[in-house]
Amino acid sequence: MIELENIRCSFGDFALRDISLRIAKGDYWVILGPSGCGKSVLLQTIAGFFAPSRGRILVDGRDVTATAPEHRKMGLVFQQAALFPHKSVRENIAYGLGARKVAREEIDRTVDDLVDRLELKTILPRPVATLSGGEAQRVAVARALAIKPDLLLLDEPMSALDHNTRLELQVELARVHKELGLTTLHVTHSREEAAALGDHVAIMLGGRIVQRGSAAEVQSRPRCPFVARFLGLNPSLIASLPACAHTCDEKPGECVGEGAN
Amino acid sequence: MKRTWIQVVIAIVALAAIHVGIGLVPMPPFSVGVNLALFFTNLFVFYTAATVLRRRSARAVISFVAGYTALFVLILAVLNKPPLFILMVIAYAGVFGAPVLLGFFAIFVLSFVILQPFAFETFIPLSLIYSVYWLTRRKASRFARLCLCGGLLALTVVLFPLIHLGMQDSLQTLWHTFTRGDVASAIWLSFLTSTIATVALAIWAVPLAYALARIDFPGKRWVESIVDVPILVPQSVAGVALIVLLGPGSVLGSELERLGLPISGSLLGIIVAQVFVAAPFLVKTAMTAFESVPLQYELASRSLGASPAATFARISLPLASRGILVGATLAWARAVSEFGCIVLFASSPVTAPILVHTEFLRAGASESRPIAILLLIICLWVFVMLQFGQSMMPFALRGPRRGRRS
Repeated sequence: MIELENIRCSFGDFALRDISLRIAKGDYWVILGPSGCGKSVLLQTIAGFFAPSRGRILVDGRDVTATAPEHRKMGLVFQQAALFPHKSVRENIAYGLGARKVAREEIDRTVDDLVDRLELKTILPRPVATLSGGEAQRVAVARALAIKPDLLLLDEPMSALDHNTRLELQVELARVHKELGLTTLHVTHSREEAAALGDHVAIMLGGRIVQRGSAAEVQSRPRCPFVARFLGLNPSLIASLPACAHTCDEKPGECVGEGAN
Repeated sequence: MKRTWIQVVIAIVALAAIHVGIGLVPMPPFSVGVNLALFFTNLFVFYTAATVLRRRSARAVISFVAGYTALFVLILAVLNKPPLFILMVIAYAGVFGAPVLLGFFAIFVLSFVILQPFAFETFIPLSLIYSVYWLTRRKASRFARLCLCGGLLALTVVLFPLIHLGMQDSLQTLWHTFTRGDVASAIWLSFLTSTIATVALAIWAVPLAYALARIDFPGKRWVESIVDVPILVPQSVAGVALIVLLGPGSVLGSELERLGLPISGSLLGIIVAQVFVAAPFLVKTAMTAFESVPLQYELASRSLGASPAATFARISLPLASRGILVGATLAWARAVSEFGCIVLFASSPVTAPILVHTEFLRAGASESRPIAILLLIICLWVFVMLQFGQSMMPFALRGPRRGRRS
């Protein structure tokens, strides 16, 4: 169970405003929002690279708000796989375990298991620089999974991939999630991804979570014109929705968020 | 077919007539023998030209004649060297068909005939530049290639004193100089102190460069400028500054001397001066190298459980190692070449640049020349080796291998 309590975080003119989210063990949450809405910052805050100015992050009831990233057990996967180019595929997957001083036999066992699970056997001998986007991303997922993270954080993991590779990786992620019962937080701006993967979807705008629910729920009952427009729903529906006090059109970032009306 | 033969016969007769005409003028410019040789040469050139220029445009014919005329004016009319002219013209006719060779031929004539005193030192760079121009013909636009070769040409002019210097003494003289005790020990001392200085510099400059590449703080731009101060300060000023602080008679200097660590006029003094002048080269280059390592690698490493120090050692440092090696090479080269600061602050024991200077003062350019050449050659050799070395070892300074416990 991961709990975010009123996370606030600001730098410059950008801020996260009172983000609260409860992610139950084994849930797959998708945070959906346009570029610049703060979703990547939220992920990096959870991973520990930004300190929130207010609020707490709890892992199974334990407060980790002030814990350094290396002691958090958050598996982080970036848009560009960010595999270490000077290490082999195997060394990349084993990196986290080596850093945590796990015994050699166990490292080998874990890595072999992940290689089987994500079907990386054919990739293993290849230099990291020669991997395709999809292959690299699978290795990056394996690398993040190797440390058996409390929470898997996926930061737009498919945005840099072509359409077919994206579909394959979606299936793969869904399967691995099911098999391992991983708690996952997946950030994206693609509503197809959200629809395909999200048991739970949170829509984010201007540093706030505007609406949450299952993908189907959000799709059928958008809360406000912004959400409807972002989901690409038809214009007559958008027109029929009540706008917030501060209109979405003029100041999208000022939307008061959930519970306002 | 028949007409061609008639043309050939007419041409040979005309050629013969010209040479007979030259032989018959009062006070002929050539003896009969030379004239005869020239006639046969021209016959050969004519034959070659007829072969090479068959089915070529009028422009090709005109340029062939222009080249011939240029050689004629240059070698025969101005320099009056018929044998050279014969050789050159035969070579010219031979290479005219191949544009590459023609270029090299032009460079050869330029170097060995016009710039004769600098024959080798002009021929080698010019033909290298020409080769570059030729080899890049399919890779870049003509404009870019002209920029490149124009720049290289200007660079050759700038570096020409060094190239010329390198050609001055025979290998025998150089070897004789090298075996002189004071020369060998000065060169050895220069290399030793520069290496120690570079290592001492790297110990603090690499971490500093990493911090400057990763942390933003108010006044960071000032710090970056301050790092460059040793480049800006005249070396004599740096020397005086070091003397004032650490020289004999200064508070710190005499205190250190009392502790058995004399700075001024000792090995340590040389190293201090070298660290001072070489620092910016390593800091700046290493900083660029660290900046080129994507921050995401470090974030990934830390989220996987590596501490910041472990991340530095296993990710950032190996990935920046090439750039750091380049910086260390530059810093080392700067340390070896340092003169102004050392001559004031630590002129004994004698390093190689100081020895060149004192020999020059004692006995003039001719005596210091072989030492200078030796130093030049050895420094260049080491520099080239280091530069090649860093590009040949992509995995130098590689992190710990898989599975090893750390």
